[in-house]
Amino acid sequence: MTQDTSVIQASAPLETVGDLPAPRNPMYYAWRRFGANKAAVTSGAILAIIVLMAILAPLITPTSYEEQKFLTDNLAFPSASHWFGVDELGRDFYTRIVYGARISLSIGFVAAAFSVVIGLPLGALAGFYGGATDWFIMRVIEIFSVVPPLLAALLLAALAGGGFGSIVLIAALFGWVQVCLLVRGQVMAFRNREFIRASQALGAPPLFIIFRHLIPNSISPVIVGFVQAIPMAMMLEAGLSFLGVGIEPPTPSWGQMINIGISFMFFYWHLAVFPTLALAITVLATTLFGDGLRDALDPTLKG
Amino acid sequence: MIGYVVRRLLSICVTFFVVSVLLFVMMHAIPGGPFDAVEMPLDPAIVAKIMAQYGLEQPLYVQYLKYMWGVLHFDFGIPYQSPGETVLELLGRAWVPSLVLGGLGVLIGAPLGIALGLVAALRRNSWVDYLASAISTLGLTIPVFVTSMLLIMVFAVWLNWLPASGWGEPKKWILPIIAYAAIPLATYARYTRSAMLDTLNKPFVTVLRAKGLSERKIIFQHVLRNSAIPMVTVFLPMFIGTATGSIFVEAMFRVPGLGAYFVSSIETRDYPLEMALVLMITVMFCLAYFLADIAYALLNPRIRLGGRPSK
Amino acid sequence: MSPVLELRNIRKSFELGRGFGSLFRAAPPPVVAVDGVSLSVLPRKVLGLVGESGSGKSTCGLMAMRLLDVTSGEIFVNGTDITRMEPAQLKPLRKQMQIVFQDSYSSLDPMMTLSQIVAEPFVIHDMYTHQERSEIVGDLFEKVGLDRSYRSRYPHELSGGQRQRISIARALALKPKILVADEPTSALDVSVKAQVINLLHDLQEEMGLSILFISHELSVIRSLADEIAVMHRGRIVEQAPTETIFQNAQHPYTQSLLNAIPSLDPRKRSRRTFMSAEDIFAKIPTVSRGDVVIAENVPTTDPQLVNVSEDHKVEAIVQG
Repeated sequence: MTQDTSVIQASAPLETVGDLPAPRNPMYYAWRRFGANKAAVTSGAILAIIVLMAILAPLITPTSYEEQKFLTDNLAFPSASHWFGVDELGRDFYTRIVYGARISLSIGFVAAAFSVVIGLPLGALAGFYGGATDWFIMRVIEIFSVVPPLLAALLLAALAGGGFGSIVLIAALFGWVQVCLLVRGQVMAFRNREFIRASQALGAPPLFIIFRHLIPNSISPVIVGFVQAIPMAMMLEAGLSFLGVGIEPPTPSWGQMINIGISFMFFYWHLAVFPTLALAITVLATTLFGDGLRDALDPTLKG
Repeated sequence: MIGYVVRRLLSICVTFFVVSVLLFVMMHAIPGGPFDAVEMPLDPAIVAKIMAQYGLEQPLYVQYLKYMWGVLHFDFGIPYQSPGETVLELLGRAWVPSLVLGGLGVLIGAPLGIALGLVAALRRNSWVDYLASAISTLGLTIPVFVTSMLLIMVFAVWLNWLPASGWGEPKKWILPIIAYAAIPLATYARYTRSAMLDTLNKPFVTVLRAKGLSERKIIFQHVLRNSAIPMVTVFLPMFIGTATGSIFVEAMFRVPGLGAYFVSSIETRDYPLEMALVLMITVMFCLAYFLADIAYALLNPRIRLGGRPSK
Repeated sequence: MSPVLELRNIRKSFELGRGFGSLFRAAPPPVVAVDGVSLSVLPRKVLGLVGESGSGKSTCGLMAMRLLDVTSGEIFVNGTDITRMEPAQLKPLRKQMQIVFQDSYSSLDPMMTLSQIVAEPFVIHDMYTHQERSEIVGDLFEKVGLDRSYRSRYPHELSGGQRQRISIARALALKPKILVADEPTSALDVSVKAQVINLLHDLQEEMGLSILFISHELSVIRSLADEIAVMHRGRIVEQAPTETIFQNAQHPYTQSLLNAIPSLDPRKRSRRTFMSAEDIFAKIPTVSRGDVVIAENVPTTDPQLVNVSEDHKVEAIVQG
């Protein structure tokens, strides 16, 4: 005879809410953590300003980026009328830097979006089905990891002939791997959770489970992957443009401007310094913002 | 272990073959050939003759098989851009600056990074720690050519202490070496710090302290050894970063190394040189992966290479 | 009385290291998790399945629910063979059989509100309007002893016991006839455990449920089960009505489980000794052929399940 039976006689009281705080979505805590990270919030603010500048470019610049309006002031140093000076073709350099932000940011965001579009479904499939599907996707990723992205991108850019579209595609081609791995890891961790089993027991088909449970639960790695793909794409664009196979002139790109700046740096420092600083600040702000988001959403994704 | 090594070497051969085919096809698919100069168009008959001389008019698979047959005999052909020497001779020449500058960069950057990471972890939240974080964040996020540009602006243009570019006298090496060193310095500073902190927070360190072992012994005999494992895994991304960085460092400082030839071979459609460079890089990377895995296994008794999942 | 859920001689073996990459190396021998188990759950009865962790009891539960495919054997629900049914055929049958898991935290999708979780069965089976769902979900909350005001909360805001109530509400939403309870109380504190068991008991009587109750705790099973099956290393070693198991356990493994139940009376405390598989094997009872009813009359020296009385089966070595 055991005593446990007596405990079991206890009746189940109706549980009430009492004075519990308001319901909190799990994402609420992530935002609280993010808010406490000063470096990340500052970077976010700087990034927001750069994004605003890029969007409002026509309103805050005196001319268009390709107008050679100031040929008489060729290579003029920064002044009140030309904040960042004039470039070697008589164009207002401040205008070109601001429009350069448009190129850099749009390539960053569009390429990151494509990375998610490719990486999310592949990661979900690999993680959910495992086996041969996973094996195949992982071998593809292995090939991508043996080939250094920049070298391959250089070849591909030479093949595709540079330009906005091909840079975005090349960046996405290498950016999806990270998103895919993050999503795969998350899906694998959740695939055997019992709420998935419960859903299967209720008769839910695989697609229902993937879309209703696995993808919503992968929101953190997707956001992290997206934000981390942005600076990668921006650096790739700058690097390729620097080497002359990226964005074609006269469209302004910081990488391209840095390359031109080398030739002028001894006498006209502004042509080298401003694009360098613009690129450095933007990439730094985006990276720190992304790291902050990652730490806030899921510190275990740190890799 | 031996089976594992053999399997890995076989897989390197497969990778080598796949990359060589892909590259050969891709390279020839790039619009434009090596001999269609825009400024001085050659007589089509002459172009055809040159093409025939290099075997470029043959079907692609014949060209590929011929090329690979040569590669098996260490014959990588003759670079179009300097027909006076073989590809191997040119590469032998181009290796030197890349190896000297990159090698010195890693040899200087990695130990400094490890030291910085160590001090940062042991003096947490001190100014050294903040400096280490700042350096590693900057080094890991800012592209190499931006670092190089800033170095040149400060030390060559404004202070006029050092030459901005070139190769030859060691004085010209200083700036590119610093630019190279930034990557391993930043990588190792960050990962040493986090690996050390990870280990320092493990219960076994608390046990060692409770036993009354001196802090110095704890750090040098136990913590460092256990922190070495993540540091080995970092070698690979760092190696890739340095190799990729060489393209930019050499373009920035006008150094006639492998990176510079890689860019110019793509620009001028110098097929033999391009093939040789990419194949060499592929093998180098595969070997780096392989060595990193072996080192990882040797350092970590819990890992058994290619073994079954342990329970 | 014909059983609502019947497992006939089911087996499950897991192949290890059989990934796509293992084409190149030899795979280790498969691990047999369930080795020929037959069980019947009768209408409105509770069958307790007890055994240590790793004995294969949870695997049996998953196979009964077709969440895991059997290696061999058959599964019948209300006399219908569901062993090889396609998911589409199986879907309407899912309304009749549901499962509650051990880990209340991982049983609930952390990104969904409690009402979304409890309403999920209706979404999957496309039942009721939005209005009706909300009403029924509220009723279900009350049925499992949770206030309706919890519906907009998230799982992480609840206690373990509360989460398990939500799991039960979800499982019962489709008014099933069969419930597999896979260690539903093992992760809970003792007091909460009692509440959840009482809830299951009440619901079983109210809804006329047949339950396959899986647990490693004999004391928990005792309060609910009509009959108990003891599982050891993938096999049923003893099966009998609950009180028979407690009064007259024949198999050494069952006896060792009974000894492991903590007792408050010091005079009744036995010295708890660990029994290895070899110890158990050495103590397996021996019966002579004439004394028992044997299902299949095959001459074997291996232990087999024999009826020592009408409703009491024990694994024994048959002699003579």
